[in-house]
Amino acid sequence: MDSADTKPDIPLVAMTVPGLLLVSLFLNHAFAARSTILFLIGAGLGVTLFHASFGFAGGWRQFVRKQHGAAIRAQLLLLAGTSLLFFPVLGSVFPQIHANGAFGPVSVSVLVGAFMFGVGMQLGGGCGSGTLFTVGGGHVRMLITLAFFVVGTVVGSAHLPWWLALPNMGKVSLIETFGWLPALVLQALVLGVLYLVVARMERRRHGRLDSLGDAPQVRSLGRRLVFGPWPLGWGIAGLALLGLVTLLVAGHPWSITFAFGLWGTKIWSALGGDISGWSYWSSGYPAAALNRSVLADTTSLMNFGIIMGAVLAAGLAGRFAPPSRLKLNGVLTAILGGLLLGYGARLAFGCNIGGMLAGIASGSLHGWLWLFAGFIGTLWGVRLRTLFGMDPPAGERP
Amino acid sequence: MKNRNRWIMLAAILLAIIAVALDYIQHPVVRTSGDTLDSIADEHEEGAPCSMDGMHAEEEDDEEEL
Repeated sequence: MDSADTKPDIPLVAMTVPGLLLVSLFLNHAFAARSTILFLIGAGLGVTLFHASFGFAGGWRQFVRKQHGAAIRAQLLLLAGTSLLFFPVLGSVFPQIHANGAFGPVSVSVLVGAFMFGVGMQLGGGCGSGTLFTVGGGHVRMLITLAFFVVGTVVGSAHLPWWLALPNMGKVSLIETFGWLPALVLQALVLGVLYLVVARMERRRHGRLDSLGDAPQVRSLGRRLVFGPWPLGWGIAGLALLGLVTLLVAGHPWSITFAFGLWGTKIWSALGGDISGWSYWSSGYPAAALNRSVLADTTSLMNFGIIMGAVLAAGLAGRFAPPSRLKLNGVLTAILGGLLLGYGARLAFGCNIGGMLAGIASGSLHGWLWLFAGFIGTLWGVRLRTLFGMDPPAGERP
Repeated sequence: MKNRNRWIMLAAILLAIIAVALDYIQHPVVRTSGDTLDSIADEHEEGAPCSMDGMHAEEEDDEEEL
């Protein structure tokens, strides 16, 4: 049902708005203003993701199955826009700003992890950001995906040292190699070529390109801004700008899945599980995060904000918790998909956001490796969806 | 309430709030008078939590202190 046909869910909005305010006040009192700001940035991301329906998994699948390329073109523009905003900051054009990029190794670990993530996001029904905003939108199946996403991340963190011992070129920074401006031009060229390839395939199949700027004209501009739906173009602008604000406030790019591992490891530890042999959690930031409240962890704060923002947006759009009945294969694929998502994200140094978007926008070569391997994984994931009865065979109408 | 899914989701959110509250009680924040906008999450300044640098940020700080 189009959200224009629905009415705002007043009781839900009436609970969520004071909830957001109360959490913000608590964070400001118990932690610091920075925590409040990061939580609210997360809420803004949640509203943007939900209203623009800005998902990666569905967009990649639409392109693989039917060459509908609007979502992929939007993602390429998001990568280009975020790079444009990040490169000068990370290239020290503004020396007074202290910020660091998201870097991972160019390694077998990232190659395998992103491939697994690509398969997992098709089976699980969402990527890192997609899982969070659909959970916020009240999709019960995605709750199962999220739970096993957390489990997979914990297992992945326990196995990560073994994977990192495999062939590994270490960190490769395009900004350090070429300088920020030449690296930005090079990256823009590659993204431009990919955009043209996607557009050409889409036009060849459908005779035209789906617009990124249009959404059904059913509401005035102001009402659409509050109640949705947003065109993809609004989503690109919102995500790129909030990504920049995250970089400036947090000192690092937006990431998601570290928090999943943290939550899972805390739960495992609270249940009496032994984590003393897991080197990932025994030193550095992970060890410190484990011994503090999750509210002191930037990634967790932003994830909570994204979920609450999506709850608010779903309430405003009148689309919270759509009625649906869980089927056995839906549950099993959510479990399998969640495990692959979590394990893959840990190996790949992040999901589609912390690994791919943040990596590419930081000029880290591992982000490009993530994009390549994640797309190959998606090709397999789309086939598996058909095999598991989630989609009809290609060419058949759903 | 419109459907069962709504109750499931609201119950899950409530459960998550309880878990976060329990975690907070177990790990109280020791806040000093010098806490400012810049003082929280300084450990992240070495890199994003998902990144290589984020994994080792505090470890490097500790070595410097030693």
